[in-house]
Amino acid sequence: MTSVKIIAVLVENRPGVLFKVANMIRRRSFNIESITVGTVDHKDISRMTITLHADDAIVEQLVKQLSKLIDVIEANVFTPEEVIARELAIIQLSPDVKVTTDTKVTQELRIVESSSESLTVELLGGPDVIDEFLQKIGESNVLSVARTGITALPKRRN
Amino acid sequence: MVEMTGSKALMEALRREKVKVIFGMPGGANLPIYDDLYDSGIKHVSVKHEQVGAHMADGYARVSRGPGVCMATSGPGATNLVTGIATAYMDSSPVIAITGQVPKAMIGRDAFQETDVVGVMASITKHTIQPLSAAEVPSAIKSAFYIANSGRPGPVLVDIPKDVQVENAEMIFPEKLEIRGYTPFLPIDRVKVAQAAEILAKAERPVIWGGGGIRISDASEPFTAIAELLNAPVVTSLQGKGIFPENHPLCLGPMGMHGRAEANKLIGEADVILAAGVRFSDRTTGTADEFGKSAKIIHIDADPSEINKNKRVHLHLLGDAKEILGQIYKTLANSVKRKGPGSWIERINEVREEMKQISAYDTSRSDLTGPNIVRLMREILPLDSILTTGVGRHQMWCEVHYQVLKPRTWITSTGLGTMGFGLPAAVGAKFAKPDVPVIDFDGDGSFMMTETALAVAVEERVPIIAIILNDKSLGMVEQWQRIFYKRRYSGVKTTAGPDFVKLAEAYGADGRRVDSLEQFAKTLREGLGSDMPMLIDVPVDPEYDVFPFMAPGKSLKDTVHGPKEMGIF
Repeated sequence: MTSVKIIAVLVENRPGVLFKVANMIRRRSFNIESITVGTVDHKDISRMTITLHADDAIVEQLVKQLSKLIDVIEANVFTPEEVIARELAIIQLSPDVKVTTDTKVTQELRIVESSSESLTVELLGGPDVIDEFLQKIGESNVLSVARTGITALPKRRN
Repeated sequence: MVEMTGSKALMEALRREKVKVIFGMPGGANLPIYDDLYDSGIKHVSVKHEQVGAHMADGYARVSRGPGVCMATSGPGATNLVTGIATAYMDSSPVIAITGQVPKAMIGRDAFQETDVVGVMASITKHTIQPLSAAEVPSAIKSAFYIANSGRPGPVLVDIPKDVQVENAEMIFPEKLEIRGYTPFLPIDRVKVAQAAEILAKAERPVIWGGGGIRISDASEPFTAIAELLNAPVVTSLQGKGIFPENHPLCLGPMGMHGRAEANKLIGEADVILAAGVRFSDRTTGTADEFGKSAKIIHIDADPSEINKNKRVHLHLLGDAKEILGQIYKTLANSVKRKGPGSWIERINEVREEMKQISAYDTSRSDLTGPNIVRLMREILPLDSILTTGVGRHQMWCEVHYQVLKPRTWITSTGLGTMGFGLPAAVGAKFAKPDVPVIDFDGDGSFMMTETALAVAVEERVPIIAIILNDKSLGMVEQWQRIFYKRRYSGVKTTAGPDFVKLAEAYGADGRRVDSLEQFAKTLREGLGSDMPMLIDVPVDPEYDVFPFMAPGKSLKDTVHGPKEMGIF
């Protein structure tokens, strides 16, 4: 069954590792919806958060193949429900757009710049929150969008 | 700590890994390495073409258990290695490829003979390392050898920029390495061992299936012990030939596209399949859904990514096959008595009798057919002889008719199916085991792909014997065109072709041509007693096809036993 999967990968922080991870995903013909990379508390380890649409069985195989890469320390797959996921979006809107209580889909929405040319907002939240905002504000009012792609940690459960 | 250049550190690291021979080619970007190789005490074999060198290192590795080392310069030297490295990767062979690279400052600027070989090799190696300072060279080599030859083995590339080769640094040669992203073997799950033993003990019609993983982990002893304890028939993959003596009463031989008819039939009747060191390749299992449909499958492998890859299994055990099979055997031996021949063995004998009649096993002809040559060759060759092959019908006739009696005496490219593997692999094998006869059983098409290896054999005085089944065609492709493309022979025929006898002589080898089985036997015996390489050209009929045959996309039960059933005669 194809659905959104979030792959969390801890890797050695060195040149060429992103290529090896991406190359393995390419080999299985997946399109990466988003990928974020940053170091963790150890500067020599990076965390990659990869979002893609995939079939359960194939993604299980993919994660095993990622784990096999020597530079990959750990790889796991999660459903969106199993992680705490956040994404940052910077969105430029037409200058005459008003962000009202109806369109303010989250408290974490801030106007970062306002000019005669555009109104720029920053929006932090789960990917669905950003999607909801874009939908409510209407396509014709959006000048440009930059989304970071999600970064995520699995929820810890007892 | 001692100060030395990156290149000198490379030699020291290779000596510490006990490297005895390197199969390589010098060039612009590895000149410093070759200068230090000159008085390193390590034997260098000049391979004439880097693909040949990679196959030699591969043949050496498969016979010796240790990594085989090949070397090349940057650019074309490195890209010539690609087919050899991909071959080693598909068959899990520990090959170390050491390439020179243009100086760091030139990388990425399309310098002369620059290829991004780390990028090119990424998906056909177990790992790639590019040391960017001389001080990294010792640990790069240490980890390359460790990674290549542990867990599921595979090729590792070490790409060393020329300035790193000449740079001086204080060197530390690590005795041991911890690589946090790499755990070759996890501890064996004892609960699963008990479960596997229980399933096997209760099995009524068990089949034990072994592949290349059994050879790699030297697990033939516990593998055989389990089969004998359970009185269970054994099948192998093509790569697994020889892990269990093929003249053993329980051996059904290899199954697959050109497997033994009895193996292909009986695997479908099993209620339990113990699959050890195998990867459920389509060429071995046929359609995955049909394979082992009514059986419980237990899968043992070193590589977690092989589990449930091609076929969902009921139980899997991860780790070293030798250790796991040993534990299963112990558990079984405590709970079950050695089983006598029951109805399952009766059924097996019945199928064996039935299959004796098929035309693929017909022994009434006395001319130079593939099966006749292969069977006669087996009679003549000493038990411990090593046989390498190219890829094609000659290889498949060996699959069906050549009984491999000892592990590591059957060296063939199965995963990638690389034509041209046989001759260089034979030379590499001979370096690993100079005291046993090494024979490359080849086809004319395969042979011509890497025939320069003959120059190496002559130069290095390694008396290998190359037998060429010469049908002046790409016989296997021709067979498929005959069967599936209405005999429209497209691109397969060699209309001129070299005179192989003269070719051998030109290289300085002993070239022979035979036109009867008697002459073949006599010539092969002469070759075994000779101290120079020999080539035996054996003209064969291109229309004589290889059977049994399971067509691609079919299942093992659809195996066709001869040309008549295939409808081509």
